Amino acid sequence: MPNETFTGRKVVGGFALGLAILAVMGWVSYQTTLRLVELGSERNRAHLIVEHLQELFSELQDAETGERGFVITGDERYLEPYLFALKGIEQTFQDLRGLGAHDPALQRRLDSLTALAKEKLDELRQLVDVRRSKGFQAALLLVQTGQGKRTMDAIRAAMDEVKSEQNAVVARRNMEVQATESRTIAVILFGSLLSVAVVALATLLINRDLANRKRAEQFLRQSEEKFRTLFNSIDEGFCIIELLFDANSKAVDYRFLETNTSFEKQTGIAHAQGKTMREIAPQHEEHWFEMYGKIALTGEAVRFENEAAQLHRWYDVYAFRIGEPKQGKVAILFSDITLRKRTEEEMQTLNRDLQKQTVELAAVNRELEAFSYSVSHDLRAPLRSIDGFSLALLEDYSDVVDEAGKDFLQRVRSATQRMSQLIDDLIDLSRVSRVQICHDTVSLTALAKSIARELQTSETDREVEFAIAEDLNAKGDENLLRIVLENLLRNAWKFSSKRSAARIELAALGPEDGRQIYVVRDNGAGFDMEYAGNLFSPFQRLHSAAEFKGTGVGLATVQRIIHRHGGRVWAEAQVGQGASFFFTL
Amino acid sequence: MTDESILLVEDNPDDELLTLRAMKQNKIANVIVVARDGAEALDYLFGTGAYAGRESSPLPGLILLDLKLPKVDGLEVLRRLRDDKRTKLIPVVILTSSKEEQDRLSGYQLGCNSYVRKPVDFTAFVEATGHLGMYWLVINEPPPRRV
Repeated sequence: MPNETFTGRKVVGGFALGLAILAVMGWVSYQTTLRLVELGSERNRAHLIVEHLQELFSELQDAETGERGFVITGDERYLEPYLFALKGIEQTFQDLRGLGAHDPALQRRLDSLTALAKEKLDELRQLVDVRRSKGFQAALLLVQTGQGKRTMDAIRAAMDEVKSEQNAVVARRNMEVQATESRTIAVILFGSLLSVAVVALATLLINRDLANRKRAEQFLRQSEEKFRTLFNSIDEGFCIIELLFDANSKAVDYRFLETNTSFEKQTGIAHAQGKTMREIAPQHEEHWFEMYGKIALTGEAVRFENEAAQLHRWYDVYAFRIGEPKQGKVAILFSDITLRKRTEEEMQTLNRDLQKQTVELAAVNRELEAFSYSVSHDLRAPLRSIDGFSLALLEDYSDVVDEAGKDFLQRVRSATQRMSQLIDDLIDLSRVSRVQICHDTVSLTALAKSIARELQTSETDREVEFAIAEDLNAKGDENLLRIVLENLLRNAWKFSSKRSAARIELAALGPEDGRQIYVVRDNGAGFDMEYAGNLFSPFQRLHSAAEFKGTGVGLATVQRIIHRHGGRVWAEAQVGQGASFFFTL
Repeated sequence: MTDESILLVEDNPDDELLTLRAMKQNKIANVIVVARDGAEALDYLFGTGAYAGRESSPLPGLILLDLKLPKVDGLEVLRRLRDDKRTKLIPVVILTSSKEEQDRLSGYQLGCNSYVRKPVDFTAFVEATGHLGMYWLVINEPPPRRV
């Protein structure tokens, strides 16, 4: 992961940088310290030089003082400091000797100083010797030459020169020391801060890296949890298998590496993990091993349905290879579709039966069609003959036939008319059951008005008031609904023929159970509700043929049509008050 | 009134008799030729078979055609005579007892000029025949003849 190595490099770099800075600082400190030491020693040296010079001078002075004292008093005791100083001076000369080694000019001056000092000593010795040997006066004369004083002055001057020079050196060195010290402090401070900064940065980065890792771990943990939950909560069985191949690379068995909770539910196999399929079901079909082997080898994902006979189940399986190809691991997601398969088989059987029945039904319907057709054609012809020839008889042989005979012939004719009507009604009734219903929006108002017009024109001398509600629309077959209204309105027309102010009404009433109720009302003869049970049965009549003509088929037809539309039909009436016929669509 | 013949194609002898009677009662004097099945009708019209050698003219000025006929069915007769140049334009009135919509539809599709249902009531039948005769033989102008 690039992020990690980048951070790692940064951290290593940071530490390296920190170390480098520390090293540099160390080196700088070391150098500075060396320098300081050097400066210090130089300063010390300068001090030493001055000190030694002072010492020399004071020793010279001591010696001079001693000498002077002796010169004045002649007392040997006054020579003590002189002798003492002499001893010291030797040491001082030695001390001074190394101190000018670094500076040839200084060395020369020191050497000349030493030489002068030695000169002075010689002078003093000379004076001492002279005093001792020649007495006070001679010594005084020597002193008065001023040589001693001149030498001393020269020494003093030379010493002052050196002293001031060395003091300057000291002052310079002091300044340098200070500067060096400040510089060092600055460097150390800066270096420390930098180191701290670098270390801080490195720490920050490490922390961030740790935080990232922690987050990643958490995420991984959550993901693992999610996966586990999913794994064990799904309804489908899920397992990971490892294919076992024989020497010829043919898949002969597989071992279950992991199974989810639903595995047992779907297969009926408990504790499959670790076992191989052949252990569990020795008669497991070859095709399963072949299929999984192929998936393990080719890496193709496959979806299929198949039967596991030994388990008595059918499965819908989705299997795919996981991991490295040579691992031979396959993941299988599957569900038990045994029930569905059985249901499918049953459905197929049912469908076949249904188709057979439909074919038979179609055949029956065709037979019925043919029958109705021949009935409508063939039965009518003889009727025509009967009627026709009866009339012919009446007409051509009226002089030979008596009244009774004429009456008979008339009855024959009426009977044939009735039979014809009956045939027509029966044809209609049968057609109602056979015909396909079209579901259109039909205007009942329009149909009713057209039928009303037909009725009016058929008997122009009757005056009947038609109250047909506007905008009555219904969903159904137009032809069949026309037959319904024809029958109902014709009935109303027929049964109100004896009333002078006849009124026939078609209206819609409120809906019942979501279906619209319609009513055809008349104020004609009505009927006795007690006998109304048979109202809609074919051929049942509540009035004699003498009162009102009719075949008794009309209402049966109406009922059949309404029922085919999923509706209901019923009637209410009172004798002499009229009848109301209700129907829903 | 034209003096052209009328071809009545009817297999039922009773119906034949009654139709002729109705024509007479309506004072229709045209010659009425009767064919008793579809084949005979076609033979007559095209001068084939039993009527071979008959002069193909004059052809009838009106054909009354029943539908259910033996040998060759009425609709087939109609189809054939509408296919032939000679008989294409002759007015054909289908006279049948069938109420079937399919027959009506086929009849018009094949080119009949009118479709009349034979009523059972003979009086009504006479009346209908009278109307038919009046209309097709008097009021209606037949197609022009090509002699």
